[in-house]
Amino acid sequence: MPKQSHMKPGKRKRIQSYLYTIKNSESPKVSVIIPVMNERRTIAAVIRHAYRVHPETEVIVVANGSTDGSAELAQKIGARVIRYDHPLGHDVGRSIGAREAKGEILLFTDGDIIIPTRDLVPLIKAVNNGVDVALNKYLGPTDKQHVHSVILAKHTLNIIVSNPDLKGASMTTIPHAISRRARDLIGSEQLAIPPKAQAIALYNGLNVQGVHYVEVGKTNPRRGRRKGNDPLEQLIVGDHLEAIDWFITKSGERGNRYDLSRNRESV
Amino acid sequence: MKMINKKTRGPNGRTRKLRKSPKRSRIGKGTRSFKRPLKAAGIDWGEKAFRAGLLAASTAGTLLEEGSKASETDPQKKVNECWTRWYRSVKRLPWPFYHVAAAKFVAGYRKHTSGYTPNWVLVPSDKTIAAIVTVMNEKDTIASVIEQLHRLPLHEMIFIVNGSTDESFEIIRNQSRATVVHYHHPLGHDVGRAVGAKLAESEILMFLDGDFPVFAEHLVPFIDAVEQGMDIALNNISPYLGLFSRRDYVTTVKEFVNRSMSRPDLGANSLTAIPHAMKKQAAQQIGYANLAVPPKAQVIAIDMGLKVGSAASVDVITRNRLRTRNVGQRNNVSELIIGDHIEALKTALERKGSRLSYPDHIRQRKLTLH
Repeated sequence: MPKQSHMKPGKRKRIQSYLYTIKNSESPKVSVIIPVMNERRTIAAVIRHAYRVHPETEVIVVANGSTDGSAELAQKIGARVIRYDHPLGHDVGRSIGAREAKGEILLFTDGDIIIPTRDLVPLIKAVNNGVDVALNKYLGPTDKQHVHSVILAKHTLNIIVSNPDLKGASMTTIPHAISRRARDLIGSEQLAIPPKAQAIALYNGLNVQGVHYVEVGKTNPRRGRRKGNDPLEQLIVGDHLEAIDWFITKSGERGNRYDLSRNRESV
Repeated sequence: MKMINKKTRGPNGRTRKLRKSPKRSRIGKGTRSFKRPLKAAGIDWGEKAFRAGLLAASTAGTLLEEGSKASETDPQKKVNECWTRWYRSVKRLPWPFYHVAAAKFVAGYRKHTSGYTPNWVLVPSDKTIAAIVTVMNEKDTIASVIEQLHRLPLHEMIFIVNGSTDESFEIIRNQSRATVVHYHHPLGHDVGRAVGAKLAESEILMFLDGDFPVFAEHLVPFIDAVEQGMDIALNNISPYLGLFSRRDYVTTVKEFVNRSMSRPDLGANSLTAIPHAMKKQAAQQIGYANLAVPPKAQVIAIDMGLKVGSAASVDVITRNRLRTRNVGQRNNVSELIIGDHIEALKTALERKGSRLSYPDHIRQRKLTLH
């Protein structure tokens, strides 16, 4: 049985009338892209916090496979909603949102994690000051012997593309912001596979930096993820392999590294 | 005045025995435990092995007449043959027990034959074994490497001396009857191993480095693992790695390659690290040239379905010699090894597709295009 609300049914209407509404800017400086599936509980707060990052902001909600009315709620709040009836798959929403974005700075976040405005502003500021891709510095739990495969993959990718100082900072992690230049260079379609987008950015010499630490591990709900069987883990590791594959095709089989004059013919 | 009693009253009125002495120190326990008579399930294996050695020595004469293998001339191999036969008849022992028992076996054998057996180490295998050592200006350490190798009943010792400008070559020549392959020019990282693997004719190949002496006892588990059916027995470096956040780049990449090949159990163990052992047949299947790029060889081996596993742990991390070219996070050797791993990943990606065994069924990628 669902939990009963303490409020009387009649009072609910009053809350609805207090609904925080936004007005997307006509010529936005910042576009916030929020992929949403079924996140009715959090979406209003996410939009509210995201909208306040800059005076000229547009919020784009990419609702896919949403059945709980989150899309309608977002619409009511005043966000621009791009709607798909079927789930698009992980991160595809970002790519579609990025394609539609009009702002100079693109900020990516998620519909299920409420990130306060104060944690989003540093990313916007960094991009405004010349960083092309401003990442969350959150690495996940690394102070242990055996780390999660996703953390390992993120670190490895940065090492392979010769930017080990980024450690495990990744475009897979939200929130992050990119400049419009970066979007055009990477290509919005590549943003659906964030590690690949990152590899492209780094390979093309874009300024990629871990800018601000936002703890997103504890607040990230572990939906349908059981120990030992995590489909998302498989997907993200696969993404990193795809990124490495792309990098190898671009930079040669040793990734621009010499082999200290090996005499391979000797064998 | 306080009375110091052996017994005192406990909180609930019952008498409680005081601990006689403070907790005994654990320092020095490790070495001492080797000297004590080792007993497992009530059997003193040292004593038993000693008697078996005596017996083996007395029956060795009759065995000779029967015409055993071609190892008659070398007493070390003869002892090892007897030992292998005896060891197979008993249950497998933990390694500390094993080495005590083997030493006692040699002692028992010597008592009968009164030959000279300078701290030999026996291996539980009657396959032919080759040690392959790459050497480049290693005059300070090579002597102790040779010394340790002489303790083992090896059939072949191959030293690949390349680009050496010091007296390494002379030291090897004087101290052993090994096969020495000499190149004036440096062959490059790990190429020597591939050359050695190609030259060796034994069934088990063991790879070592001239700058890193390893106790003969520590090499036995690698040979044993191959004897037990493993194709490639790696050094398990996991105990020496520490926390992930403090590891170097190479270790991270090594671990990623293993996980990508669906072998998370291997941790960061790699053919890059010595010592490791391998079946000659496996080396042939992988291709000798590929052995020059160890991670690539490893990926190929895993992909071919060869049995790759970790045999034992030898600390090569904290004891590794520091040189000008391998200090710091981004040194030449580190970059070389990362390059090796990229090459390895490329090989894997070519063989198994751009996402290996991690397909993407979830995304509707068509929608991302205009």
